Amino acid sequence: MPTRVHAIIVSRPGASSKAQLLRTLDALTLQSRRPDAVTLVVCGDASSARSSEAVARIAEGIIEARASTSFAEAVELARPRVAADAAVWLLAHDTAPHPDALALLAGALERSPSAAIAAPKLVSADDDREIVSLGVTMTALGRSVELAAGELDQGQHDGREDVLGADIRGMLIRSGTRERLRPDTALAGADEGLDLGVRARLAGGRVVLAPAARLSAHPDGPAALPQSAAKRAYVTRLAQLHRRLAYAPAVTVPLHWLVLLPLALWRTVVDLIAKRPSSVLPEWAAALVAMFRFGAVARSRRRIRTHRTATWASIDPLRITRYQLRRRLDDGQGTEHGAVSELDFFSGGGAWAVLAALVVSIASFTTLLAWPAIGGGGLLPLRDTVAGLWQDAAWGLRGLGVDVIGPADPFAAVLAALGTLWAGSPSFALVLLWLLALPLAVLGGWFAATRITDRAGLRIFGGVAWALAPTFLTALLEGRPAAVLAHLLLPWLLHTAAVAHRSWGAAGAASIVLAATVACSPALAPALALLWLIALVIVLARGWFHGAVRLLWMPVPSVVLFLPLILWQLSNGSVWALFADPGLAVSGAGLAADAAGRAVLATGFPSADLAGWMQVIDPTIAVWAPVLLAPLALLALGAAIAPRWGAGVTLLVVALAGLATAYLAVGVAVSFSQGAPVTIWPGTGLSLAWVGVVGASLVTLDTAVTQPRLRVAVVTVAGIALAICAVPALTALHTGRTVLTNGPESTLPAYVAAEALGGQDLATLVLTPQSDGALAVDVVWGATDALSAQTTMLSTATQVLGTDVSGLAVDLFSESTFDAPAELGDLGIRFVLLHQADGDESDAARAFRVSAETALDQRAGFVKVGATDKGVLWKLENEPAARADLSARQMGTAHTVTVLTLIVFAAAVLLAIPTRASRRAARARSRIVGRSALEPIVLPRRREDRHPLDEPDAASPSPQPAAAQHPPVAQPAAEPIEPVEPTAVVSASEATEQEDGR
Amino acid sequence: MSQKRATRLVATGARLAAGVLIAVGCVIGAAAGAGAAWPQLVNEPAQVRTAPAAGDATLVCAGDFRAVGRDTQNAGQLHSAGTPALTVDSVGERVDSVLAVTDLPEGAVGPQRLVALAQDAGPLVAGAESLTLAAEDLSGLAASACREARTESWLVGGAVETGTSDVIVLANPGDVAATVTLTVYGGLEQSTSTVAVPPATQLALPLASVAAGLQAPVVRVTAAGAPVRALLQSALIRTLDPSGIDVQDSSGDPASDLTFAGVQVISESDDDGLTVVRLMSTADATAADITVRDSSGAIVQTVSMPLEAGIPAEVGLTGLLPGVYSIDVHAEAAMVGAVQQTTRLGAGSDFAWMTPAPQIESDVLVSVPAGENPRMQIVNSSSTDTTVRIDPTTGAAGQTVLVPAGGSAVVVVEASTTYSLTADGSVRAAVMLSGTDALAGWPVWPAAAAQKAITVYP
Repeated sequence: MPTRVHAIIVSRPGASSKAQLLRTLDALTLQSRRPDAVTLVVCGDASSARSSEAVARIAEGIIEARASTSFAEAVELARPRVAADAAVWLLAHDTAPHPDALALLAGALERSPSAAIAAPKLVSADDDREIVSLGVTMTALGRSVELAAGELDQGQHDGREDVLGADIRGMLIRSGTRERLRPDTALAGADEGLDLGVRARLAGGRVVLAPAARLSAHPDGPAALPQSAAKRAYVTRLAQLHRRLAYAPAVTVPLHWLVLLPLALWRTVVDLIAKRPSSVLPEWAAALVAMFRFGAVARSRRRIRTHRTATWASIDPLRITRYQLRRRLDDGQGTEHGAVSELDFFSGGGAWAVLAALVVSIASFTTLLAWPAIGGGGLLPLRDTVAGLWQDAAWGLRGLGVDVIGPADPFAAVLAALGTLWAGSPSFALVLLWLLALPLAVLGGWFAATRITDRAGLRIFGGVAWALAPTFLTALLEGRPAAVLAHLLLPWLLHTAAVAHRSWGAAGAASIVLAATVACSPALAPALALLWLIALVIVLARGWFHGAVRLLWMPVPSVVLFLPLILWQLSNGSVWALFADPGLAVSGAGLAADAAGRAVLATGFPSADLAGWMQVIDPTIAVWAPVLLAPLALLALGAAIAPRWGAGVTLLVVALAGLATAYLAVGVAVSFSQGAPVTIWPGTGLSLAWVGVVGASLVTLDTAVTQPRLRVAVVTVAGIALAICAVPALTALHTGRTVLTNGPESTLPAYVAAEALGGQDLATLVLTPQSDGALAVDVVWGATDALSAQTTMLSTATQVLGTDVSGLAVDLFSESTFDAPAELGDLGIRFVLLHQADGDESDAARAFRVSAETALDQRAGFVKVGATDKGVLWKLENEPAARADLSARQMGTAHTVTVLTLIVFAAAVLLAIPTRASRRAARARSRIVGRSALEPIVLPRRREDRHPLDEPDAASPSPQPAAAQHPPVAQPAAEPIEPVEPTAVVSASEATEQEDGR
Repeated sequence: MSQKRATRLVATGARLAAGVLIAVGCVIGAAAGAGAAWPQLVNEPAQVRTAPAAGDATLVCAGDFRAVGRDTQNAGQLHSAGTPALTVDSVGERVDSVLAVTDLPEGAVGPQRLVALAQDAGPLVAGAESLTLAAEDLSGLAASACREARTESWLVGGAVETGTSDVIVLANPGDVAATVTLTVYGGLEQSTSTVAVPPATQLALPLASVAAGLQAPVVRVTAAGAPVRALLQSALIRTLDPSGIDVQDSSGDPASDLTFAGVQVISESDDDGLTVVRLMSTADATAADITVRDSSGAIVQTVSMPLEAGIPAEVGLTGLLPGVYSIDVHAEAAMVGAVQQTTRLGAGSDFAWMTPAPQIESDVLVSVPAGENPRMQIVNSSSTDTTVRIDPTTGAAGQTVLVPAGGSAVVVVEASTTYSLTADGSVRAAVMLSGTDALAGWPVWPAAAAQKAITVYP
């Protein structure tokens, strides 16, 4: 006599669930062997089920459970109703068995006495040829692996019978074993079937597959994995961790418990590298939950222990091996979907352009090759050790002033990263930066141009135009490291941020570049924030919500990096001070904040000397130098009417935003150079504007200028004009028209530098008489006044920070006798340097300096070291006190800031690390952003196709009317590269996101 | 089909029109933005105005008057022509001592060093010397105030013509040796020479030795190691008659505005320069506007003169009636200057150089030495009337003077008396002595230890 079968159906309330339930019930009535009893468990309001006739006809009982009841718990609720000798058939409302399913399952159990469980083949309800699940196994480490999920059912797996586990849906559990084979409620919705299989094995039974028995399942059923990626990640991870704790030998459980959190950290790293940031939080949640479910783990372990008859080794043959795993899966690294857009950096001539720029750079800055350090303008030496550099970048004691404690400028972190690149002598990194600035700018510009054009020539033009920007050359000549770095970073920001909505890799990279750019030029922050908002609106308007999330991530590292400074300035300074240029404050734009000054800015030149033109030729002629930029400007304006007008107008907005930043910056003086107000340098705003102008002109050239000869001619004219415009700047170093100087390696006399080498424990009081008879007082820690030690806290201070030494400094010159060395020593000061202000010294300053020198000479305890080229130096006889350390609370703040920043940047870096999958995904899409349907198609490197395709009418195969109009033109050659219509972008990016999110 | 084409044409046309509008908008926006009123922000830097702590006030007096060329065997040897009479007083304890002299023969007495010890309110001390000579080679009145040593001094009123015997006198009251650099302006190029002044010592050297052949030399005295008191002794012989002596103090720091108080005109001059203004711009070429005011504050004369950088220039003020005048000089660049006053034309007269009077903003002691007709002129260049109290430190009855805004007051004072001068505003003052062929005058300086506050940018 066949055993009785008791079916338990777990259902959720709701209209669609009810429809599916009725279909399932119908399927049950159509079974060739009908279950002897059916119990319905409704997780939620059961009133509609109770009132249903169909339900009443079949179900012997209806149980109403709480809505949060899991599948395993629901089955547990129905268990008391099952007769002792009945086998249990686990169903959900969405699993409609095919007519002979139960017969086949029961037959499988009967045929095989050792079988404790029979499992069917789950197929998709939409397409019953797609396998949803047919057997589950696990790896040596316990990760569950579906054996056939997602495959097209061609009977290829029908020969398989013995498996480790299966999906719990549709399982038929033998009557004799079902008491010990109760679904583990601790698994929270994943791997229950696998767990049942494992336990069956350990109890001496086995799981048999009945592939001929088929159940149609919906993906959103009550026993299926959750739909959302994050929830799915959580339940699968929790189930895996729980099984690990339940299966492990007792002695190793504490070990497993201990490594839960380290593992979560490791898997976080892996998740980030694999561009799955949404899995990070579930990972930690699962680890924490698994850690503290001692009761559940104990229950699971007890249940296994009680019934175990076989050894753990008995399940090993059914585990999947690494080799099998590798063979059955694809490489998991994504696909290019047939379309490949190569970068062509080498074959497209980009490398040659960079090389040529290197040659030009070396020709222009030849003398730099022999300089050990670079000085002048805003350039100062860096710290002599990498550790010192990073110390300057951390929250804490600043390298200037007495007891000045607070956040570092984010720019210090950029400098630390830069200095680390030449760890042996960080100051030389700045020389290298100057030498490599031109080629790096060409490189950046070339890569940024790949987002706008596929034409090799135009990309090179973009790179060259970027490197020859007047504002960039001016920054090089005036010695403005922050502005130079900002200009070098901006094209990479365009390159990455333009596709940040497409992939996490780009978003991660863009977030880092953005943080570095804003660190170099905080004045750009408002304009960049505006552009970010515009991008967000565009992305949301097109419904790319995953893209919007990635865009939301973009400013996070910048905000975290700036947060300490923002908080500090809000409580101690002014908001405007946040936008001050970092580094050494140097005046010198020479532009008044009036219409005349802003008119110069509007021409693209950030200083009154027009990138050197004013000095080389008659100023009345030199004022016409901006005309050389006119071709580029006209091309840029053309972008508004170019076929790809969307991208063109966006770039024009970028240009206007940059110009507005420059207009605003020239009137804002928040930092001070020894008491003299210094305006924010407008050049970085112009750099941003240059992004827009060069980008827009590339759009025009790429899409509007369709005649190849005309395009070559236009590019040649614009390029030559730019090159001529750059000549005075590029020859400036040779003709001595720059402020750049060889060295110094330390701003302090060599005696101090030698004594303070490597540390920041010795302070030097630097007194600089000013031309107006005032006195500038600085306290410099360490061997030099380092660029990385500059802090906008001090340079924008409108009140005295830290311990005020001005009274003491002035008293040094007085007739009064007091123990000056002791008072200075208490502050940690070892040396006193009387410095001469740069440039022409006024009578007042000289008289002050002379009397100060006389006064200091007469002070007891001051040993004159001598007059050096950096000033007159005295050493204090007595040993200075050790530098005060941070208090415990400040130490805590410093650590919090450091750890938080490191975490966020580590996440961003991990996201940005390219993987094979992310590279393939990038190559699968056009590199160009914002393509329009109207523009002509470019087929790179297809010489023979060029002529027909360059004609405007050959364009637009994608809009249906056009394609219908010109059927003969829609050549096969044009098909592989689809112009990306907005809708196509949506579907493609959604598809990628689905992949990424899994 | 044609409808679709028409739709396309319209769409393209609209797009192009919009594009042109946007492009034009960009140009207009950039141009309008340049002229727009953008918010402007210029913060004030952190700064501290702090005055150095008060210390001892050390004054050095002029000491013996040097006579040049009295020894025919040794024309370069200097001799003491006389020791001046000193008038001195101080608030609080004072230590007086005498410096050594190295340039005079054995037995000569060095100048007085007056040290007022530091006290809470700042030490106040004043001293002044006067000397009347009527020798074969020297005649006239020379008087000067004792002053603190400085690291930089300007000696403006020197002369090296025939008949003049000017001597630079340098005194180092400190405990360490000073190295003095003398930079002489007046030629095409500046010449410098260096003199070491031992501690607590005075020495002198003829001006002709460093500024030979110059019309109107100006000497910058820069001391390193220790500050020195620099002054210029002048003596003039017209043909064979001694025609005046003077002890000229160093001028103040170069400034774009100079005010001379107590400029005396004894006899009316027509077109010869009894009153001569000598000015030198220290760094930049400029033009100086000279305004002469009489004792009532009315403008009696304005003169303008161009100045080249580093070249002293003189202008004579003619047509002034006898009286006391104040002179304002304004230029765009910093300059130094002094005014020469002569009693009359011809041999036997006396002259005196007046240096610019600095602002006095706190209480000050003024010593008036022995001499004829001692007077004090108080000039108020501010825009509010100022009341000045002048009290003899002897305790005798003082006087209160109201100095009108922009005006001045001449007060008759007692010789050989020290006064305490208290003003409720900032004034300038000068002490004058005048007699028959006797003329002297010098400005009143702020208290030695009351150093001015310094702006510090931390």
